[in-house]
Amino acid sequence: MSATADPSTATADPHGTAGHGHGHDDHHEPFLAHHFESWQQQFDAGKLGVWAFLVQEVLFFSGLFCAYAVYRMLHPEVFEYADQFLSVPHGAFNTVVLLFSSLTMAWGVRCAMLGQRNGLIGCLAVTLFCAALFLGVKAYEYSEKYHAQLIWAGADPLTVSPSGMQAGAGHLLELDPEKRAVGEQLEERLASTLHYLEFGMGVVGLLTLAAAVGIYYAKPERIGLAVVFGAISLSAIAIVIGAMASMGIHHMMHASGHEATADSEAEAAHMAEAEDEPPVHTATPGTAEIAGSTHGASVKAELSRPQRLGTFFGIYYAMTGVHALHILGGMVVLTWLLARAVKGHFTPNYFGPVDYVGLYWHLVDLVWIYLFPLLYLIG
Amino acid sequence: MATILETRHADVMPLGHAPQDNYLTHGRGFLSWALTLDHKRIGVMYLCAVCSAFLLGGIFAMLLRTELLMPKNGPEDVFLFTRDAYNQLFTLHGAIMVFLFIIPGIPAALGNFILPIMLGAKDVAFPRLNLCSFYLWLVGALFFVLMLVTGGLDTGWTFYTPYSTSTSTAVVTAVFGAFILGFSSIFTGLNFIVTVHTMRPPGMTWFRMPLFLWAIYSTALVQVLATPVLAITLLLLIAERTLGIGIFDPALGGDPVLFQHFFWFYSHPAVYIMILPAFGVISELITTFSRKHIFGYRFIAYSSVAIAILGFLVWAHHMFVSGQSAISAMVFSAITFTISIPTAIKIFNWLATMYKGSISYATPMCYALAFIFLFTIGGLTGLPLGTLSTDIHLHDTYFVVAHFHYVMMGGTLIAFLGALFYWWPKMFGRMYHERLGQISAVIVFLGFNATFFPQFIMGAKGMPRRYANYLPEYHAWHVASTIGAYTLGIGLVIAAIALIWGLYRGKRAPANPWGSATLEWQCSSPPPHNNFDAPPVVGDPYAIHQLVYDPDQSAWVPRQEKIVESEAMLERHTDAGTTGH
Amino acid sequence: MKRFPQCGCVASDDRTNGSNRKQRNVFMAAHAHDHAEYNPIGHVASKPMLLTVFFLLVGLTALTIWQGTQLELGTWELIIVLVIATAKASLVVLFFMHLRYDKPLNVFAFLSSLLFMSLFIGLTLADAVNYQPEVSAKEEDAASP
Ligand code: HEM
Ligand SMILES: [Cu+2]
Repeated sequence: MSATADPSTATADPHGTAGHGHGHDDHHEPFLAHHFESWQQQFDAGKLGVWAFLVQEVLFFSGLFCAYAVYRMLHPEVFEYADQFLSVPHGAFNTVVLLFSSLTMAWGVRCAMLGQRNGLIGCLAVTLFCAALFLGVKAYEYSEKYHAQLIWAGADPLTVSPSGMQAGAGHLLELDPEKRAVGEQLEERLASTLHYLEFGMGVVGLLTLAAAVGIYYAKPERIGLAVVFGAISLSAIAIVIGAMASMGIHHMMHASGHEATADSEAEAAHMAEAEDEPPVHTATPGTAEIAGSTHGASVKAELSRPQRLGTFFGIYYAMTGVHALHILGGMVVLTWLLARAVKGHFTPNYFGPVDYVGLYWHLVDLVWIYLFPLLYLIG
Repeated sequence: MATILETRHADVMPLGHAPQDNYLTHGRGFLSWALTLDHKRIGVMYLCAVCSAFLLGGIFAMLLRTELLMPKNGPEDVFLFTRDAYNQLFTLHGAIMVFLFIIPGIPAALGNFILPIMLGAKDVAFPRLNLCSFYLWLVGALFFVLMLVTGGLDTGWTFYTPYSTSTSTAVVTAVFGAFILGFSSIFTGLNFIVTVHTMRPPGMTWFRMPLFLWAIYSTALVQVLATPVLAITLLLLIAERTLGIGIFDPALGGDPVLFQHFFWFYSHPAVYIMILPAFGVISELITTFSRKHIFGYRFIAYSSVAIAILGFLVWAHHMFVSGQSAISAMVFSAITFTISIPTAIKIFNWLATMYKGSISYATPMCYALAFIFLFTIGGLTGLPLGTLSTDIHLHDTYFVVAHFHYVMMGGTLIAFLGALFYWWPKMFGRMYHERLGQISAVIVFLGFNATFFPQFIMGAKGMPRRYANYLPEYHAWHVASTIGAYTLGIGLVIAAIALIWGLYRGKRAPANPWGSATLEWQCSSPPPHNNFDAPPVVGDPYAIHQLVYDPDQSAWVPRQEKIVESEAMLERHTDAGTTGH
Repeated sequence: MKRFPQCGCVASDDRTNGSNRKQRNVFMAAHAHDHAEYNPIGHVASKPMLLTVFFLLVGLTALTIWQGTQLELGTWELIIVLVIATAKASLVVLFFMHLRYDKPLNVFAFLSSLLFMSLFIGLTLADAVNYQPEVSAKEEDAASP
C-alpha cells in the first residue's frame, strides 16, 4: 500500500487477512484494536470522536445558556438582585481550582506522550484532587443556599407566579418559610450540615484508604482495584478539605469587615438601597406577612424581592448542577485513567485515552469559565 | 434468528465461492450475539428491535383507527376506548414510532450493517460504543415499557408544557426513556462520522462514496448537533416536573413557548434524521434497478449536506400559532421554503436517472417508485403548512397528520422496506419471495393512500387532530381512512411474509444479485466476519453499466470479463477486451 | 500539520491511513534530534507554554473579578465579562486542548458547535424578545383584576 498507488485501481485491505504481508507488526500490540491499521489511525479516530463528543457537549450546555440568556434578557432585574447572594470569593476560589486542574491535566497528557509514568500518575492524582475540592466548595454553597432558602421556584414558599398563583405544591421538595435561617442561625445550621458532610466523607475516605492499602498488600495483582479505592479516598478527603476551606473563606470575609455575616443578610442590607433600585415587581402583601412572621428584616426584603427569583435559582441550580454532574463524570474517568496509568498501560504510542479525557476535562473547565462571570459577577 | 441461519450453514453454496464462515456462523450461542462487537450482528439485533417497536406502534395505530370508525354522541358515549385511553394511545403510537422506530430505523439497523462494508472498512470506528448504543436503545425501550405499566402517557409525543408538568401520567419515566434513546442516537451518529472520516480505505475518496453513505453521514451530523439539545430539554423537563425549577412552567414564572423552541430545535432537524437516510436508500435503488449511472451524483451528495444544515434554520415553523412573534414567524416561514430546493434537486435527479434506463420492477424498485410518488405529495403539502396564512387554518388538523405520514411513512417507512428487500439477500444469504414482495408493495401503496389521502381532505375541512370524537360530517372520510389502514396493515404483513419466507425457503443469494457496483456486493452473501475475504476494488460506485448478467454463471460479471470469455469461446483473440475499461 | 514552535519547523503528514507513515516517521525521527520532547503521534506541549497559559488564565480571572466587583460599567459590564471569558476560553482551547496544533477537521468541528449554539440561542432570543411585550401585557392584565 504505497503512497503512490493509483487510486483508480487501489485495493483496500482493511482487515489484515492479507495485512500481514504489509510488514508492520502493529497487530500484536495489546492496545491497537484489530480494525485499525496503525497507531496514528487509531489515535486520529479517537480524537475526532472526542471532538464530536465535545460538540455534543457544547450543544447540550447550550440549552442551559439559552434559558439563561432569555431570562437574563427579559428580566435583568431578577439577575441583578439575585447576584448579591452568590459569593464571589467562593466562585473565584473554585475557578482557580479548576484552572489549576486543567494545567495538571494538560501536564499529564504531556507526561503520557513522553512516556513519563510517574509524572502522569502525579498529574492525574492532582487533577482528581482538584475536581473533588471543587465539589466540596460547591457543597458548601448549596447548603448555604438551602438553609437561606434561596432556591428554585417549585421549592420556594415565597415564589408567587406572575399570574398570582402561589407555587410550590406537588413538587418533591418544598421548604417551610418558618425554617428560613438568617444571620447567626444560618451560620450554625450551615456549620452543622457541613460537619455531617465532613464526617461522612472522612469515614468514607478512611475506609477506602484502608481498603486500598489492604488490597495492595494482600493481592498485589489487583493493583487496579487498589488504585480505584485510593482514588475514592483521595476524592473524599478533598471534598472535606473543600468544605473546610469554604468555611474558612466565609470567616475571612466576615473578619475583613463585611457587614453581613451571611450572604442572605445581604438581602437585608440590600434593603437600604431598595428605593434607588430600578422598579421591581413586588410580591403580594400576603407573602410579606409570611416572611414577616420569621424575621423582621426580611419583611422589608420581601418587598423588593422580584418575581421570578425562583426562576433565577432554577437556572442557577440547573447550570451548576449539570456542570457538577460533569465534574463527577470526569472524576470517574480520571480514576479509570489513574488505574491504567499505574498499571503502565500508556506509552508514547498509546496515550489516546489520557488525551481524550483531558479534552473532556478542559471542556468542563471551559463551561465554568463562562458560568463564573455569568452567575457571580453580573450585579 | 441465529438458529435458523445456522442450520442452513451445513449445505454449502452451489457456486463454489461460498464462505466457509460468515458473520452469522462466526461464534454461536446467546452471548456471541449479546456481546458481539461485529457491526453486522449489531445491525441485525437493531433490526429485530426496531421491527418489534414498529409492530407495537402499528398495533396502537390499528386500535386508533378502529376507534375512529364511529362518531360518538357526547363525552359519555364510548365506542372502544375512553377519551383518556384514546389520548394515551395516540401518544404511545407517536412516541414509539418516532423515538423507537423511525429515528434508529434506517441508520442504526441498516446503516450499521451496510455502512462499513460499503465503505470497505472492517468495522465502525468504535465497535464497543456501537454495542453500547444498542443497549442504550434497549434501556430506553425498557423505560417506555415501564411507563406503559405505570400510568401511561397522554402528552402527545411532543411533551408540551404546561400539560406535561401537570398531567398525572408517567411523564418522567417516558421522558427519561427518550433522554436515553437520544444518547443512543448521538453515539450512533458520532460513530458513523468518525468511521466515514477515518476508516476509508485507500482509493475510497469522498466522491467515490455511495450516496447512501453521504446520506447517513449527513444524518449523523444532525444526530450529533441536534440531539443534545433534546437531551437537555428533556432533563430540564424532568427537573421541572419533579422539582419545579420554573423554566418552562408558567405557573412558576416559566415560559412554555421557550419549551417549544427547545423541543423543535431538535425535532425539526430530527425529521431530517428520519428522511435523509431514506433519500440515500432511494438513490441506491433507483440507479440499480434502472441499470443506469446515477444522474447528478454531486448534486445529490451536496443536497444531503445542505438539507442537514438548512434543517437547523426552520424549526419555529411548528410554532406559528403558539404565540411566537410575528417577525420570527415571517423569517422562519421564508427559510422553510428554501428547504424545498435541495429536496427537489434529489427528486429531479432520480427522475433523470430513470429516464431511458432499463427499469426492472423488482420489489425494492416498486417501493422506490412508491417513495417518489408519496414523498413528493408529502413534501408539497409541507408548503401550505409553511405558509403563514394557510397554516393558521391547517395547524393541528388532520392535514398536518396526513402531511407527516406522507413524509414519514410514505417516505421513510417505504424506503426502509425497499432497503430491507434490497439488502435482505446480503444480510441473510437468501432471496425473498419476489412475487409476494411485489404484491405487498402494491397493497401497501394503495392502502397507504386510502388511509392518508382522506385525511388531507378532512383536515382542510377542519377536522382537528388528536380527538377521539368528531362531527358526523367527517364520518365517511374516517371510515375510508380506517379501511385504508387495514389494507395497509395487510400489505405490511405480506411484506413480512415475503421476507421471512426467504429465510427458510428462499433461493441462495449470490454475492451480487442485483448487479450493483457498490462495495457491499463484492463480498459474499452473507458477508464473512471480516467483511471481505479479498480486498475490494474501489471504483465508481455507480459504474453499473460495466456489469452484465451472465446466465451461464447466473451472476453479474464485469463487462470486460464477459467479452473476454465469449471471445475465448469463439477463439478469436483480439485486443478488444482490453479496451473495455 | 505539525508545527514546532521552538524552531518554526513544519512537518506535514498525510494521515490517510498512514499511507505516508514510513516517510513521515523518517522525517520525524530526524527532527527528534532537535527536539528532545518527541512523540511519534502528536504535538507535545512544552512546560513554559503550559505555565504561561495557566498564569495568563489566573491573571484574566483576577481582572474579571476586579472589573465585575469594583467597576460600575452598566450595560458594558456584560460585554466585558464575556470578552474576558472568551479570551480565557480561547487560551484553554488553543493551548490546553492543543487545538492550535490539531487537524483542521477538529478545529472545524469545534467551531461548528459554536456556530450551531449561537444559531439556537440567537434565534430563540430574538423571538423571545419580540413576543415578551405581549406576555407582559397579559401578565399585567391578570395581576390587576
Ligand atoms: C419538504 C419540506 C417540508 C416542509 C416545508 C414541512 C413543513 C411542515 C410544517 C410547516 C409543519 C407544521 C404544521 C403545523 O403544525 O401546523 C410540519 C409538520 C410536521 N412535519 Fe413537515 N415539512 C417538510 C418535510 C417533512 C419531513 C421530511 C418530515 C419527516 C420525515 C416531516 C415531518 C413532520 C412532522 C412529524 C410534523 C408534525 C409534528 C407535530 O406537530 O407533531 N416534514 N411540516
Ligand atoms: Cu418541521
